[in-house]
Amino acid sequence: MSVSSVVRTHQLTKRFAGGLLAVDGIDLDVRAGDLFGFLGPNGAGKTTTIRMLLSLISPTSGSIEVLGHEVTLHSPHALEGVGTMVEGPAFYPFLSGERNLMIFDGAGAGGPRRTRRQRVHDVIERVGLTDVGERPVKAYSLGMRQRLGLASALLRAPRLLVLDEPTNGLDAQGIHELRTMFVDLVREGTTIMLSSHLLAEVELICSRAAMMSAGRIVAQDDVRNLLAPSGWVRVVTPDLERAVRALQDGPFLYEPVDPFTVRVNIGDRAPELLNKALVQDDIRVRELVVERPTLEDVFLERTGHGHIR
Amino acid sequence: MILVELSKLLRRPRTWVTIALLSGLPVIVGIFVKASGLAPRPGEGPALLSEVLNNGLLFPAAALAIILPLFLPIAVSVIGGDTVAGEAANGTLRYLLTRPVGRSRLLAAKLSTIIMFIFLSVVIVALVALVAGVVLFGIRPLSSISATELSPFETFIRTTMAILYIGWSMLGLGAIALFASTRTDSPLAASLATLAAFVGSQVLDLIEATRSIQPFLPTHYWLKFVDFYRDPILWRDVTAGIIVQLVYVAVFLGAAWANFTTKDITS
Repeated sequence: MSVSSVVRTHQLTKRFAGGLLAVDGIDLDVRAGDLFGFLGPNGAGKTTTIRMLLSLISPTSGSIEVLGHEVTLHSPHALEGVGTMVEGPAFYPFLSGERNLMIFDGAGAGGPRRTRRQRVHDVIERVGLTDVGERPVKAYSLGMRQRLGLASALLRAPRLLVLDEPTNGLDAQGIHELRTMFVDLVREGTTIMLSSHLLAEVELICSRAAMMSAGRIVAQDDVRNLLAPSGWVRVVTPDLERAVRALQDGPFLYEPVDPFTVRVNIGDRAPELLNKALVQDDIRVRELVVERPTLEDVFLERTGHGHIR
Repeated sequence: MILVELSKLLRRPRTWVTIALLSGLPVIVGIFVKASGLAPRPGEGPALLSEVLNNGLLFPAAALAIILPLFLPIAVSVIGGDTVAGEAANGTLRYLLTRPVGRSRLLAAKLSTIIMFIFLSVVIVALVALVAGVVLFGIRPLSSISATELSPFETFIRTTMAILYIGWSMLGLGAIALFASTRTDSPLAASLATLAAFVGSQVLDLIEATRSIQPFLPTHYWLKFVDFYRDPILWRDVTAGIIVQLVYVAVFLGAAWANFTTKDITS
């Protein structure tokens, strides 16, 4: 494995008792410094994969390396550098937020008791729960629990954060704060693997992404590459008829959309050349937009459920 | 990890409510016995209660005899059944395991919790009963079941041994509860399964036809703690009781371990 791989799986497969093939031979590759989006609809196998990475579920076949260590049910030690939030936070409701974190910190190996209170205090401050840390968790709102779950994941300054749908239950303000925190954490050297079914959310912040569908990875690349221009350019002009006539003589595929708009496939040629040609023909160009797919488009295309717009 | 689990047990309100209820019942019985002056005749009612009117020092043992047949096993089933399944139902199991805590370690910590609860319960029940017994009935030299006299100090020693024996007698049930708790994500189901084992054992222990297997039942030797009050102590059944519990612990702890260390955690 390369030095920079933080999570790497080889042909990872999980068939549950009863025959359901939840994960079907996937090769994940999360690299150091990634803000890695792990995407796919509910039921695609994301959570099963994450549970295998965290040695909660044993793979049917294939192998997993996390932070350079082989992960199996019997050797979860690789997880010492990993902070997690899987399928929502969970706490002991009768204890305070602080006491809960003291328990989770104390449960792991190492971590001197002397500095435990300080560690708990630090992560609670980081997620903005300082004022309520002493209240019992049963009195927390959904958003507060979500923050506390994140605080718990941040205990012991993990090198890798594995977060499953971390923005569930947060309001717009909370989601914005969380995104900012993720970007800060990555800047500080943490690698983040973020699973979500909200593709637009991931598009905003992730540097790399893998997409899962029906147990398989359908795409895994830098988000920049996934979202590369499609080759289509959308031209809005009041002179549509003349534009279409001009395009008929040209080398490009085109497709009128409405009385003012035509889409033109220029492939990998520069869009400014199209603009120049249109203007030289005295066609008034009101807008000229290079089309980029959204992650949703990419996903639909790769799973064969979509069409290229 | 064991310390963390114990602190969770001790910080949990339910633990103390359970122990308070366990301690309360014998006190209520004691007050009524005192007020009415009516103790059960020897051989009837809970063991040793017949002697209590004469001697408050015997009340701790009588108190344990009152909770032993039903309340203590129920408490052990509920607390034991909750250990792993409760964490699963609550969602905290995955967060403990990914800390990471090795599965064997977690299981060992949970077993420690059950043992701690058992001995905490019997000791507190006995202490409360001691105070109640001395206040209600006073201290006198005790006549043993074998009709010789035991000094208060000797009574104290015998009672301590009886308390430890009763605590020990719960271990088998505790191990069954721990095993049941690794088999399900529902603490209620685990507790009920443990209670079913307990009731089943009691039923089989009553029937003439099952006499041949009775010495191997987990509840068979429970009431033999009265043998500690014979003079000299009758060790045969007590020793058998201790061994039977050990066997149950070994078997069910092994089963719990085999199950839990290979199990997919989907809670």
